[in-house]
Amino acid sequence: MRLILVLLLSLALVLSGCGGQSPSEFSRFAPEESQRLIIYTSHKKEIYEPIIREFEQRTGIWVEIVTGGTTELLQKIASGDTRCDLLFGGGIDSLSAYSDLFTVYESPELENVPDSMRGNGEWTPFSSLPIVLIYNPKLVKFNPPEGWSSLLDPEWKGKIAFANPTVSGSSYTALVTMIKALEREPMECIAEFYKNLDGKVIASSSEVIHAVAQGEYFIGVTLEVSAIEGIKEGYDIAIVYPEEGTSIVPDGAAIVKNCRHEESARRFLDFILSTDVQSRLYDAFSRRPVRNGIYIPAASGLKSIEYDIEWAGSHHADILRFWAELGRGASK
Amino acid sequence: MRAWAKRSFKNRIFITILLVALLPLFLCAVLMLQVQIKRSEAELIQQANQELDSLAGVLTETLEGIDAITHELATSTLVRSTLRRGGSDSRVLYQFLFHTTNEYRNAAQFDIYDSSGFCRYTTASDLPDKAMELDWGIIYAARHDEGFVLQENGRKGLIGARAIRTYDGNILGYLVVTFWEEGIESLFRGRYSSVNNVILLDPTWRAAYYSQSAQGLATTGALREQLLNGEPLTGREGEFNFYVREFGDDGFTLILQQPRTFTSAVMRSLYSVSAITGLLCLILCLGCAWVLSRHLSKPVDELDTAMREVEKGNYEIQLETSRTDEFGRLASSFNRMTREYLLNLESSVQRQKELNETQLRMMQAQLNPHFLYNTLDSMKWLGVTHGVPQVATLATNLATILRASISEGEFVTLQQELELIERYIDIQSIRFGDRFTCEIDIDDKFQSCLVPKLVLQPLVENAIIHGVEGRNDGYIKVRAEEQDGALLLTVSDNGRGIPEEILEKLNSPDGMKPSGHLGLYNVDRIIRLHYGDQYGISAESVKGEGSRVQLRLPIQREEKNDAEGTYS
Repeated sequence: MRLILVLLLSLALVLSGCGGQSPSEFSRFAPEESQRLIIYTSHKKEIYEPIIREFEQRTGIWVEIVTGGTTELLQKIASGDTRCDLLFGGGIDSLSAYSDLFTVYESPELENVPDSMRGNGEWTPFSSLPIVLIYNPKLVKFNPPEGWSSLLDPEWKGKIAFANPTVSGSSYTALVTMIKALEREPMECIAEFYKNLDGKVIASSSEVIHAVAQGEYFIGVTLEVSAIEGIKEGYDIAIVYPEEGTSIVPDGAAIVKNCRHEESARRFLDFILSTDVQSRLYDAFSRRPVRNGIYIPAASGLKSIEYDIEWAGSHHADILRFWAELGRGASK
Repeated sequence: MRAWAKRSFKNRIFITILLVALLPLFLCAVLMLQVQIKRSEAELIQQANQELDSLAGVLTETLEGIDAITHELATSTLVRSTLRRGGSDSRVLYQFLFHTTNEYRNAAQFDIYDSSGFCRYTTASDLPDKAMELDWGIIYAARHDEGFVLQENGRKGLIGARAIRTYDGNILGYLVVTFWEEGIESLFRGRYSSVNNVILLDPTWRAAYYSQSAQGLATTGALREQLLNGEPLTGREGEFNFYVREFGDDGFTLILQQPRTFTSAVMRSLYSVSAITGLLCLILCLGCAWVLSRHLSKPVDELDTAMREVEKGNYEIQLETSRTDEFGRLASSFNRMTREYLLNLESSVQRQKELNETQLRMMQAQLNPHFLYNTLDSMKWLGVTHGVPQVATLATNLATILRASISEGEFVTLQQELELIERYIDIQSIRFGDRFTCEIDIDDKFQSCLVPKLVLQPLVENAIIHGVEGRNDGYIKVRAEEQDGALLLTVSDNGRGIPEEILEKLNSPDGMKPSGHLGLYNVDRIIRLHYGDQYGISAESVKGEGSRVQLRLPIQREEKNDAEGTYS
């Protein structure tokens, strides 16, 4: 019986001896740790891919990409995902909210960036994204909306496409900007605006362009980049820069604390702030560069007002709770 | 299992046959399969490496050649001066460009760009309108490099460039070489087998070209991820072997994707075919082993059962067999043995019965011995008191003989027997007076031999009766001698002899009971019953001259010294 057991065992050995090539055969082709970088990005492929390809070609660093929504990726990192070296994408208000996940890096390229967009090193700005109004020129022939005050004008009651600020970060930014631009008491202003929406709130920011272009709504509130991209895609919409001025909140990138490839991550931040990348932003990606001295076509009427990230952060919960209460009140 | 195997040798034979038949078969099948697989894998690897050698060779050669001619173009005075002058219609430059690039135009397209990124000359049919970006991509790389640089071209092949500089290093323009997919395909054509796929990767393993564009992107993505995670390269889906070869100085990599011959599906079918044949063999083996082990063990089992029957006392049992081999012979031997045993048993029972009858007769003869003793004792004293000493002697001797004849124990020493003979002769002497003499001539060494009691007396009686009758000089001699390990007791006389017909009967081995000479007959029977047929009585006689009767007995000696008391 023991003999049979031995025979069977040796047979199993013979059988298991047949396998493919061992991993070590290929491992010599793999890059060293110093030549690697793992980027989590919420950007679209059209944006991250050319930039990362160029970065790879210039530096020889092998970049691994993980994509996802900003909040999703932030929560992933917050919940202890140690793979990520660098988060690329996401408004800096989102990044600020999770600033304790990130390590400080002051890129030498930051001296070419206006002070208002530099931050304090936990994040690095990438492109600036003004909030604009759009309208459907077929439906609005005369008296197009002029600014934030138009949103409270009963003329547009029920004709405004506005994404739910509890879901969309840019909608929340728009709310805060409106309050600041009109210099109104926050809750009163929000209540009035909500009333003017006539109970119609769009589920997500990506649907605003579509809703306006299809004539479902007359005017809408969105990011400039979405509007320009919409026009490039062939949607019939027009852009209005609010006459009271608008907030220009950049999106950015940030290096995760104690990451494995910090040196490569720093080189990537330097790269996205470099002239070569910044000068491509507007033409290739419809985004405004954050770097000084890059030529882009002048946008008539774009006026910046200061956006108080700190205020926005500290009132975030209150405002959204108030918004939710308004929603419940309206449905009654 | 072990207990089961131990219970019967049939099971052991069964298991042994099974193992001997199946194990080599099984091992053989597995080994053959493995050897086949290994060999085929080795062949595949060799083939793949040869193909990679060829592919990398042609690519390196082409790139080296292009490096050389771009160097020639970029440093030629004609190109420099034409670019410095501007315009895009120099026939001389076109002539030079076509002439120089003649060898490689199948594989690549050659363009000359000016320093602001506009194309001035091209080997393609139309001048592209769009300017190249100066701070991006290949132009950026060419400007920051002294020589020829190579990049993947947005997954549509390769693009290479070399900056055209003035003698003091200012940029005049760029020489751009574009390898479209068709160009690379024409280079690779016929250098790899059609089932394989070639993937060309840039230094960070981004795909530049794949021969099968349908799955190329997903495959390279998967390969890159596997490499970075330190996993074996298996691609995305399907079963392929991947062979990696770096070539040139730019860090580009060629990968050959080869479909596996022994995919898991093929292996599964191979294994299931093996398993089915194995199962069939197993069933066949089981059957054969069972039949063979039964064939071997059945006669032994039957023998075993028959033996147990015999032990229980059934001697009638006979084995039935038609076999002629060892088992057949064994069975017939068994049958013969039981038959003979049965016969023996019957004869011994018969003998016992006869012995019992004799004993019965002897017991009848012991009837009321005390009455006889007492009578003899009275006779003795009557003789003494009446002064007839012969009567006293007769009575005493008769009593002694009587006691000996009815005493327990069948054997006495020869000495004791002779004592009885003497007493008997004393009695007969009184009867016959001096008409005969008796001589006993027995060596002392025979004195202790054991003999059945009262075997000599009938002989002596016979001698006296037949020898002395009608004569006055009767002579009787009792003698003992040893012959061939047997004790011979001879009683001879010089009487008238034994009649012929009685003599015949006496000498025949188991003759009929003679009507006379009952004493001799009984002696013969007793000896034969005790010792077997080779012992017994024999007689010879010459009419009128005397007879000689001989007893043949085995020499047995008394073991205990105080065995029997003397008859006194």
